Amino acid sequence: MRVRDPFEILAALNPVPRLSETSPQDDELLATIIAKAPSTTGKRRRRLWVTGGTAIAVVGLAAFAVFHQDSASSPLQLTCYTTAQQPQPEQFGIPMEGDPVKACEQLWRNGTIGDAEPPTLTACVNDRGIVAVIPGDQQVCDRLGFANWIGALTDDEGQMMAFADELAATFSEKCIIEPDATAAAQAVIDKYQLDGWTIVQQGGYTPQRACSLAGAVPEQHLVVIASRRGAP
Amino acid sequence: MKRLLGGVILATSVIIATPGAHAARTSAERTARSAWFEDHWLDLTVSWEQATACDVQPDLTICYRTEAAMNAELAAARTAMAFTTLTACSTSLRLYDGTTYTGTVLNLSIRATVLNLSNYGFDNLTSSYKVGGCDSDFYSAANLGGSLYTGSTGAGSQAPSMLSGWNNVVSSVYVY
Repeated sequence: MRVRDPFEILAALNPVPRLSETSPQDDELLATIIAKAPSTTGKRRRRLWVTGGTAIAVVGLAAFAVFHQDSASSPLQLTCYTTAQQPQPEQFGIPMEGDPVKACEQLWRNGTIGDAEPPTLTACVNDRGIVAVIPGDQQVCDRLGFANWIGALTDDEGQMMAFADELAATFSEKCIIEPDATAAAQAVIDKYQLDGWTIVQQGGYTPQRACSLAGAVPEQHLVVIASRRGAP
Repeated sequence: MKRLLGGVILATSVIIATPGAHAARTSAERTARSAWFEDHWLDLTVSWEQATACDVQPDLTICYRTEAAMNAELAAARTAMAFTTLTACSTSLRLYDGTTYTGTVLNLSIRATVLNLSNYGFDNLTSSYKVGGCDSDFYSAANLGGSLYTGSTGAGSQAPSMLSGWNNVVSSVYVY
């Protein structure tokens, strides 16, 4: 994680960028206010209201910033954007890691993305529910209509990654033929005590594809089984 | 991954070198009456056909014409297993929105995972592709459903356009 200027972070918390814009009605409103005679009565009370209102606004903004963070619906996938724009001209889908910013930084450093030092990168949750690491500061997520990533994998997400690994390994270590595939997948589901998951058998078995593969789709609570390449 | 790699250690195989080895064959009858031979199943209690060596595993028996062929296959399988437990392919699968490798690009190096292209905003967009260092399968529907793309998608293959009927059709992929 990069250490950021606190004032820059505070500036990034503004959820309503249009507040800084002016409209033709603004001048008219200002003229009306100036034309009114200043009143001294109730000045203290108004100051109290202004102070209270400001405090509430600050608390509200801070709450907005906290609540505008999100976790991914699919903790298995991570995508590295090459530019801060949507739609993305080129992206890199890589396995999820504990520090997604570091994982994408590595692609910049080894020349896979660009040919210079990595810029400031920020982890967001994109509109598809996966973590997207995007060039830009903390505001870049909001600018693209995304949430900021919550910053760490939860225990449940870690468990989900372990489950997906074990499921894939179970089916790649040996040839599991079609009649045995559902039971083998169910055994892994039971081991991880996952409730409400379903298994979909996509088939496609031929003499050249007699064994099975299996993969988890966490966002759908689904395990997919299909034939895989190679005879047993 | 450490736990996963630990799980890759091969179970000891029972190898029957010749059909004439009576003791070994008796063992085979106990553990695996059916065996896979080239492109079909054998009933070992009836005939070995041209097979002379079988690799008996707890879940499956595979027979070969020669012992040398069996040894070569087992060595290749061990290498493949060590490889498939890694979660990232060394060079990624590249899907292009345009034909002849043009347009927006999606690079995928995640292995052994169901990759729904809608997660990347790339559903029904693929018009050309380059496969990286790992074999890949393309499907017309999400979650490896629909039809399997029958064009060449082995490691290192590429195509400047899709087979007839497959332009802007791929919805999910699996990288081995």
